[in-house]
Amino acid sequence: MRPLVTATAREALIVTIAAAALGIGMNALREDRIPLIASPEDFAVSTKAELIRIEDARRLFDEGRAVFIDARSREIFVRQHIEGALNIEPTSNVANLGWLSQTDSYLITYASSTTQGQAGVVADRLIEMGCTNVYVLRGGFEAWLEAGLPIEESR
Amino acid sequence: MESVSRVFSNRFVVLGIRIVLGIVFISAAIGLRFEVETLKFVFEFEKSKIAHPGGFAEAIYNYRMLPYWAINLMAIVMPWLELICGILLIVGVFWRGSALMIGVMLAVFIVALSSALYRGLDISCGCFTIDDGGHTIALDLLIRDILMFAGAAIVVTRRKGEIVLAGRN
Repeated sequence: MRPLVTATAREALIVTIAAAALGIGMNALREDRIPLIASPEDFAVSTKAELIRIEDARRLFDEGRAVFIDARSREIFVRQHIEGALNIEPTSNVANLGWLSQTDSYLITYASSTTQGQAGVVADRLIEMGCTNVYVLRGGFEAWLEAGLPIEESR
Repeated sequence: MESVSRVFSNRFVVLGIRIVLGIVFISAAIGLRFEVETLKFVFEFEKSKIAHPGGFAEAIYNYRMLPYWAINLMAIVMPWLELICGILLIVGVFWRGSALMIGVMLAVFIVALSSALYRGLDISCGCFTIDDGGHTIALDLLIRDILMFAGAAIVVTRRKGEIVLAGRN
């Protein structure tokens, strides 16, 4: 019995090492590789809303099924924002935004990639207001910009 | 009880379990899923966990169970582990070790799903593709995983006489 247990454990270890080597190797070869060790900034943006990938956000944007919500300060928003986005700062008064909870569109909040926490706070407030389909844009405004997607800016 | 035990020690039954588990785990890695509504298989490699470690990392994050340092490692390694174990289980090389790892993965899925369902999370499972066609987790997934775990346990505890395509038994 014992040799069988040892042999099984050895097989399992070999299989796992092979998978780790392949996975890490293939990830290293990818253009859109992810770091082996994630940092909280990659994810920790909201206590309730999920993250949405830029590709999915783009598809919803193209289909006209998304409302983008810029959670950065008014000043930065005015300079440059995703085409058609609303500006709701974490401290904004949301009393007159009840219509957002009636819409069928996806509500996608974003901030800059380094201040994604703001997007999370706004997403949580929207959910508390009764909105559904609330997401936070992964990578924030910079990811949208890098992907060359439509923006509006003041001249 | 004895007849049940006899059925599960039949080597063709065990081979059947290995093939089913193997196909399920290969499918889960490469993005092949069965859509219950249309009763059709949908193959979406571009949304598979192997092709999209970033998307899979988000699916794992949404369970809010793992520490940050472990999320990407799991997203990078697990799809390959699923693929390799699935293939080896069918072929019959290192099949017992592969079944053990499949059992370990299923145990992880069972704990994660139970916890997410208990907390009422409305998230995609990340089971077969990174968004599972927009389906969110539900009790049937948990039952499916428990059944597969039982299958993996049956295979791991087999001692000898199994059908293999290559290598030693």
